Amino acid sequence: MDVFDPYIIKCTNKIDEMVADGKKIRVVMAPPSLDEIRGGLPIAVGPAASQGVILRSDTFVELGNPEAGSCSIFLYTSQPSLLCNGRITLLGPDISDSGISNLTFDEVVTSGGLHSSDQDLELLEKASHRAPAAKSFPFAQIIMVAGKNLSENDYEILKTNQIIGDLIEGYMVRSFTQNIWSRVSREAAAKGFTFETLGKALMALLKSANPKIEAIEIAFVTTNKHDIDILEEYARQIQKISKEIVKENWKIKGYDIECASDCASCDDKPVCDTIRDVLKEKMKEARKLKNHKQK
Amino acid sequence: MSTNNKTSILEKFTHISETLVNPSLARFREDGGRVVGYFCSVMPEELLIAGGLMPFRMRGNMSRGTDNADVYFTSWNCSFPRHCFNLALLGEFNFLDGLVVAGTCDTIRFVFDNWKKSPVKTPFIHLLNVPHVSGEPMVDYFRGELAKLRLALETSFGITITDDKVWDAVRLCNRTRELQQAIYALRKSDHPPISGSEMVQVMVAGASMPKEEYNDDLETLLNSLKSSIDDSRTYDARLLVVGSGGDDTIITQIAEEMNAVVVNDHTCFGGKVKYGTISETGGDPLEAIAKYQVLDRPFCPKIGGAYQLRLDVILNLIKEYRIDGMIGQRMGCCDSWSGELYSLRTDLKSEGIPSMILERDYIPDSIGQISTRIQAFIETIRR
Amino acid sequence: MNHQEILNQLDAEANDLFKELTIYGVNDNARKGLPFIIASDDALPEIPVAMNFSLSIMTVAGAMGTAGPEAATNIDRATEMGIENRLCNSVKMAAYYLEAGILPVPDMIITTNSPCDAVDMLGQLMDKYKPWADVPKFRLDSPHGHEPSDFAYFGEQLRACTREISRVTGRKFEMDRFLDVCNESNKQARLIQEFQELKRAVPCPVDPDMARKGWEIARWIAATDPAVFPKATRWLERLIEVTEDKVKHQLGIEGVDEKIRFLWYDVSPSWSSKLFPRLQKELGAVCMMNYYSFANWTPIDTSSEERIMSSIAEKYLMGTPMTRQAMHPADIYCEDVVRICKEFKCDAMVMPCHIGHRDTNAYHKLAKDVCRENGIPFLFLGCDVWDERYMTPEVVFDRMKTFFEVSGLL
Repeated sequence: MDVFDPYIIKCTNKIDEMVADGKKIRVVMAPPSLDEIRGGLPIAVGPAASQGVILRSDTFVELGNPEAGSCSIFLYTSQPSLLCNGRITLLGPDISDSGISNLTFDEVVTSGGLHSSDQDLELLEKASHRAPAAKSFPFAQIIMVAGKNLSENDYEILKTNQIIGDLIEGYMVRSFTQNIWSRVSREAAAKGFTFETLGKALMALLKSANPKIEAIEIAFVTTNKHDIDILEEYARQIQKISKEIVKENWKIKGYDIECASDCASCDDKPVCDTIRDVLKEKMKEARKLKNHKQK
Repeated sequence: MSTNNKTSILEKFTHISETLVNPSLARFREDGGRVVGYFCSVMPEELLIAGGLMPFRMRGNMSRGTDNADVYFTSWNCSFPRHCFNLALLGEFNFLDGLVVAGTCDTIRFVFDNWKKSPVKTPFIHLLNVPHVSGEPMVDYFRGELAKLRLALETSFGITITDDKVWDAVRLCNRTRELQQAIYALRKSDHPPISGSEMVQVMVAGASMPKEEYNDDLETLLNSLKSSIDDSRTYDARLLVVGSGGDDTIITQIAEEMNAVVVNDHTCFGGKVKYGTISETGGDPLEAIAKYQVLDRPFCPKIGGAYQLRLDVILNLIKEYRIDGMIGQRMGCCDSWSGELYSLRTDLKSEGIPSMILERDYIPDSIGQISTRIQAFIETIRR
Repeated sequence: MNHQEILNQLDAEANDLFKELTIYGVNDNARKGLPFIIASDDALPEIPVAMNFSLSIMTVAGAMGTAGPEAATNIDRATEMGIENRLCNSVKMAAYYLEAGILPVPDMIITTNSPCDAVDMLGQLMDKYKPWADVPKFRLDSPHGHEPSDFAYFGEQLRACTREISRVTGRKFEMDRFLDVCNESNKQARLIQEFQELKRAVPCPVDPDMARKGWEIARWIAATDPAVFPKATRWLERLIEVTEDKVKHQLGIEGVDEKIRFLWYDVSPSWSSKLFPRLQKELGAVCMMNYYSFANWTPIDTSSEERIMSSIAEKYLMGTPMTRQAMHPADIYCEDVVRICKEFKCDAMVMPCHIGHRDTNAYHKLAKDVCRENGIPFLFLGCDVWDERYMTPEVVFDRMKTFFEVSGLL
């Protein structure tokens, strides 16, 4: 599985370029084992770790709103040697650098986040009883995973595993399919949630969902929209490759037509015909068991 | 000699139109040639021919059912793409090295999605986006889409499609159109030398075999038709068939068994295909092709802003060919043709031209009802 | 006022706004003194609001005609017209209104091929309609691609359309005003998105259908009556305020003991009031999303004139319900389903597969397979979202109940 290898190299080269340009960089190494990763986190990670929604009033900072710019890249390879396992790189300010602002929600919407001008802010003077909300970083997230046994077949599972839902306490990825736009809650920020936390949490989730993964490296870029736009162009190219993989995966699944659309010719018709009766019996049994337990 | 030529070529075309892998196609493949199937006449064969590929217009006229395709589609989708896809699932299109699906109507567009996710092993599949308005800005858009198709073909097949090769292909296909037009023109006479059913077979064959061979056969056929007029035959009605499909002889056979003659058609596989020619004045061939498809030949009812042109063409045909009545045919669940034929019927009525609209399945279960309706229509005209 | 009272008030306000429309989707009061344009499909309210004209949408007209006490009679009359019998009934209804001469003569017609063959056909009937022969027409070509070049292509057409509107109506297209409207539109989109995300809370705090109402006010009603446009923003803000409060207090929909959350990924049926409340009350099954309560809009990029039109094009092509799902590859529908089910903790997916939707009928297997792979129970219905006689709400309820039982959700 090497179709993404050139892009892994491209992304890591791009990061090196940005460093060479003098962008602020911070590198952290995550511990190798899942338990150690989880144990060191200030927030919970896993099913129902959060409610899944962070209110505007509870938001400490937003990452990647459309005005600020966002980009999400996911790459994988069967060559672990291409990655530095456990490395989390942050280029640009960290979550803890943002601070709480007095911008209102619609001010965030119209002013473009951290890079809004003073003029923009002046224009938006009207006080509102709406809850004060947070600034937004421009945000690129690059996740690279590797495993000797990873193949094209794993693409869709890996892709689905990126849907965070309620799996990270204090972190919500917004319902915005164009790119990645997320929120960090005030509570999580107070507990010390940083990009290191986010990186480790993502590593923990991916590793526990996919035993084939042997190495993960993650990079976050929060410098400026221009850098995000360059990475976004990579993302577009990567998407074209991904589409071909999806197409091939469907073909590999094989011809599993269960039956024609006509019930009369379906092999499972006897099952359908008796299913209601089966269900009734099962539910009777379940109720008996429940009543028995309650006693 | 002439009659022999006519008979033997028509027999050849009949065989080709009723099978998929015909001898001409088989020979082409044996010689190392590659075949690319395509949906809809807006997909320019010229691009494929320029790449040394043989275009094959997708059809399912020998299909016997849609059981397998109906797991992907439902009976609320048009039966034409369902039958084609069903044949594909049964392996009947395994001879294709590629498939280009022009994004004309909804159901055909999703043949692309289903095909690429099915076990049908077609190495190259491409969706060609097409404009749905006839206008100058759309020419440029379609030219861009044709350029994407060219690049995809070159990449996938390891070929180079130069502008010169495209121009050669344009000239070849223009010759096809001219020959087809010439044969159609013979049907203006009181004693058409070729029946509607035979013409269907001629047109379908043209989309199923190598173009050079087809053109040679067409020339021979044209010459023999010119000298084989049977003026003993008279007909009760001269008919025009308009609508989708047109790759089968169901309507024409029924009508001609009732002593009518189908002297022209404006169907997806028939008369619409041969209309006009691509301008050969040089320059960018993709632009010339785009202009032809978008501005000169916007005959799919999915193309807005062009109904008046379509109506004018049909009224012209009715006048030139002295048509007594029009049979409009469409497949069930075809929203586009339903609106088009609804409007055509109204407009023809105001011109005093009898018409009937026939909704059918692509492969009908029974011909009886169709027969009765056509018979009644011919009777009306006779009176 | 308590939460429910506020929600009831919002609901009543939304209903009142709809009452302003005639059965055929025209706001006779609003259009007095305004130029009047009819479009075949969801056009963008930003343009009529900025240029101050009244825009009626034929598909809305058709949908309205399939609701209400006269629905069955209306549909039968439309069927007798003689177009395709199996055409989507809302489009059939709109075509009937057109051919029956019920609609007022507009100053201009805007048609397009999106989102589907049926609406495309409707647009062409509008173009050919003899009594409107002298009415200026503009036809938009909605591309099926979703690359930046496609958005630029459509954006150019929108620009040309505004020039034509100016020429016909005398209304000027002023960029400053348009920018203001687009910014307001972005705000509304963010608010609807915000509401959407609040639905992730368990239990779901507010009937998800409120998002549909908000959307309809901001897009459809505002297009017919530009004065409604800013009111839509405030309506949405109030909706979010009450919903946020319910989330904070972990309150669910009043009177509903939430047990099942499901996705109905298609248009909300005109007979939905006979189905969804019953599902909520009797089974605790809450419909988390339908096409019109799913907000996925790219913001309009107001950084330059060039960007504004192509980003509006992207918003229209990728965000308008039905256009998103019908005009583009099936992958988009399938990815939406997986993402919505995961993000909104849906226990099941119900695919209505409306009989008039050639698109969902053509890719239902792909959707089913994706659901199976992701462990999402899947039900295929094959109902008519506009004509309840085809598959009654009772039958749909019964099927869904059995499905939930078989899936172990009940």
